[in-house]
Amino acid sequence: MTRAPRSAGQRRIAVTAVVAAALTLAAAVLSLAVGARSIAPAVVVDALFAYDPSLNDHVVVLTQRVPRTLIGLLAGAALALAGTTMQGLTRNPFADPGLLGVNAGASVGVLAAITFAGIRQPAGFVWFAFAGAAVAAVFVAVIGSRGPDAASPAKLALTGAAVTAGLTSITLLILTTQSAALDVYRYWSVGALTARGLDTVALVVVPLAVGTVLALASARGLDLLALGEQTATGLGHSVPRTRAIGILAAVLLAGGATAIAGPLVFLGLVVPHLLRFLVGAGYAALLWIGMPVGATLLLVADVLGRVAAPPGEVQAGVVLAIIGAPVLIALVVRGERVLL
Amino acid sequence: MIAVADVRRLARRRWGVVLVSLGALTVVAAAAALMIGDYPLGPGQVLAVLFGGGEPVEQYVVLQSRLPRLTMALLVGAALGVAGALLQALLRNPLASPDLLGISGGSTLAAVFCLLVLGLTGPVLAAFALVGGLAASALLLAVARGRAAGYRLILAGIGVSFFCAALVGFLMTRAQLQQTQAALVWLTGSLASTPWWQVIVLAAVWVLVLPLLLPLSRRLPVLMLGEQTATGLGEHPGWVGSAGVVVAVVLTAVTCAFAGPISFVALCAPAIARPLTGRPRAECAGRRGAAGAVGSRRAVRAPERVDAGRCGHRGVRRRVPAVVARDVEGTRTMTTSARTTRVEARRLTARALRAGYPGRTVIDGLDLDLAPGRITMIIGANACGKSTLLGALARLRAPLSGAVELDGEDVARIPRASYARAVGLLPQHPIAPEGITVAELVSRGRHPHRGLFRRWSAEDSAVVDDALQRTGTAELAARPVGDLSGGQRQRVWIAMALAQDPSILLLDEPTTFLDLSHQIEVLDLLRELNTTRGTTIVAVLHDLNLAARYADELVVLAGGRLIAQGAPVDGLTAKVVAEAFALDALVIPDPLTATPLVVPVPGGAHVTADPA
Repeated sequence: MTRAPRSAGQRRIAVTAVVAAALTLAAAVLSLAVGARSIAPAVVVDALFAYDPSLNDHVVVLTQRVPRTLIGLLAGAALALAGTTMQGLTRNPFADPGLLGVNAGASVGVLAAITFAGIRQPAGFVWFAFAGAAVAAVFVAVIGSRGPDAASPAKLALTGAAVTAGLTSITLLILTTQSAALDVYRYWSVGALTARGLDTVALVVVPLAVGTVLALASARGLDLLALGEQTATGLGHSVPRTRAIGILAAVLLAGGATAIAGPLVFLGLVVPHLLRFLVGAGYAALLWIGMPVGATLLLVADVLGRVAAPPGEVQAGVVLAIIGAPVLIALVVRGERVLL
Repeated sequence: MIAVADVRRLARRRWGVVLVSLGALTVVAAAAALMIGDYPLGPGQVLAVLFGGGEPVEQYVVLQSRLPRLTMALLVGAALGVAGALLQALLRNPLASPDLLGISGGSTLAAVFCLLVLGLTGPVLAAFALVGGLAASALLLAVARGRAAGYRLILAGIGVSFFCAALVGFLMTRAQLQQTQAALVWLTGSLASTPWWQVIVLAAVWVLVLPLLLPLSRRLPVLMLGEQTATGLGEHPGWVGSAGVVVAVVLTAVTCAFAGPISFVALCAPAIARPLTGRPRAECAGRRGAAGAVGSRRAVRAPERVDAGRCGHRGVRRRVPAVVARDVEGTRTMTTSARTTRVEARRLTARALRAGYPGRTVIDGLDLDLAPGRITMIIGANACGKSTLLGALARLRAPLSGAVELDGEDVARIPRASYARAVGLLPQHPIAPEGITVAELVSRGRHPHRGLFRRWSAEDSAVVDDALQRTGTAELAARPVGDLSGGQRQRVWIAMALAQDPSILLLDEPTTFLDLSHQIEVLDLLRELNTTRGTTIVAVLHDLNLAARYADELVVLAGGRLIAQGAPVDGLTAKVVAEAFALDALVIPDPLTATPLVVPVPGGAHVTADPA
């Protein structure tokens, strides 16, 4: 059987994909094994395939580390996809899902859960956070899509900024007046993978799955949009449809991820930047490989947070920003290729 | 016909109205700030205290609580308004705000650290916040290589903000709840319980910064035309940009240290001031400050004032035609008398010029003498160094070695403004700020002729009017540049270059994107300018036949070298065309002008006529 010869670019993409997948696997194993209680990989495998409820290590793996790792995988992949989609839609390398007001909306949702519904456990926040994120994002998308230049990047960005500012002031108002809410909210707001069970994860599987399919399906549309709206239309592509699908995907993915892991601001921005160095500007590669890369980054951040300051833990969101900011600045210093 | 003096007079009148109204609003807001609160006071009581009377309680409330708070609000609002206006002008982005520079992020992190970890408040807290904000912005500017431009700064700014926000969040999770609440209060930004010493420090900073604002307000409108045009008009974009950033950073950092991170004012005050003054420039920095001061007290009022501003704007526009009709006669006589003089002949030469970019030499060892009073066209293939040469002549980039000389003097030693009075530049892609009118744009050409304290003069108006008329754009004077067609826009830019009134005018592909008749129109205009005023024209042109027609002298470049220079008949031969463009062509005399006419030989076997 003969195969078409691969170009250097394609080979590079394939290598990156394989390496990213391998890294994700390694990160997942680390995430199951490392923590306040170190568990040997063999025991981890046993716990997964020959669960024995009488063994403490097995219980820890299955009730704590497995949900945590799953959340890391799902949220990391989802945020990478959402960020890439947003950057493509807005043709703006600074865009991330936060642009749609997702984080601000989720924050207000969580505060509503705390103050009005009296919920104190992060597991109970999921629907509130998702609803808050979705309402804010849909509001931004609808307002930003009105008028002749529907859903133009500048319009979306402005609307998003205004909605975010409004919601943030509501957040601050609640926080400064309700100290009980502040006490719960401050732990949620840094973004962490802990204290959620598998049942919590199950709640967002459907939105995440739908969002993933939509995002991956919009790869070709994003490639065309990167050439400019006129060129894309001239090539027979429906710009409004790509925008609608892309925004919907970003809302589902970012909303779902924020619901299970809290506001993790960094991943959506940095993963596409990192990948453009390695695989170029094609959106199919950016989206597909972005998933394992985002998942790996989030898991590694979480694992580092577990061992960074014993006996306590540093939340994954904090670790992400502490490592990620220098990386982002290094990318900026290194050169122009980070541009779209 | 609209005379530019009228446009300016209308603008001045509007400025007067705007200033008085804003001043009145500020006074009203200040009065409200002194009267309203937990302990309400009547106007009489406030006045009594201000003039030394009143009850002790009233004295305390007004003098120790509300007056410092009010003064602080005025200073903070003005500072943020000015900082926002500066950054929006420098970044040419109406959404820019000092938050981009990481000041609030760094400030907040340092303040929260001071509060939660060290447990300190008062002056130490303010000092921490100040140092934090300055350090963050210094880091950012270092990353962005000292330039307040472009995506590097924004991306690095996002990184720094994320970093600071995450650490703040982390510190908040590690502290006692009560301390966290105290930190949160700081985070929301507040003017409550401002001590007098803070007011005095901020006022001192204002005193230091004010002398920088006037020169900046003159230069920013020019900088907004793009770095190339600004350089052509005798500015040093790097220095102006750095000075602007430093002022913005200092103002923001000090306000942030005292009042906490107050967002919005810096973003909104310029946005409010823009429709009020009817022009998107930072010239009105002071007025924006006033708008900011009012805004910071009572942000809720902003929309109302924006509307008021827009109405005023429309009203003024509607009045334009009436004034114009009245003044047509006077204008004409004034301009014709002023503009018959010829410009001084200056000689621009390149000596052993090596130009390009660090690590890539485009032009190596070029000697070129540009004949004064003539039209010189520079031609050559893409990437042969035409624009690099023009850039070196216009001082967009310093030569790597060798020199450009004006009348035998190395231009690096000539002050930029005086060079801009001798040599003007029209870049290939000039940038028109959004909403700018034709009259304003052309007026900016007068920049190198205006000293720091010299007001706009009748001569300036006369020169601008003349430039508008010569280019046939006087009818467009009140129109926004953005609404014009490509041909009109090009004529407007040439009008700006004419208003600069240089002896030598450099143009980078002035006919690109124009249809043939508009190309001819632009070239005729240059030819006429050359004949009537004696202006030396040096233009990069792609159309060989038009270049040959209009040039007194052709300069042909290939691979960064000069391969031919001279009258078109001598310079443009089939051999030269083959060498410069790798193109097989027949060069015949133009049937109308006898200048060389280049007819490319088609590829393949499509030649049907006998060339002989």
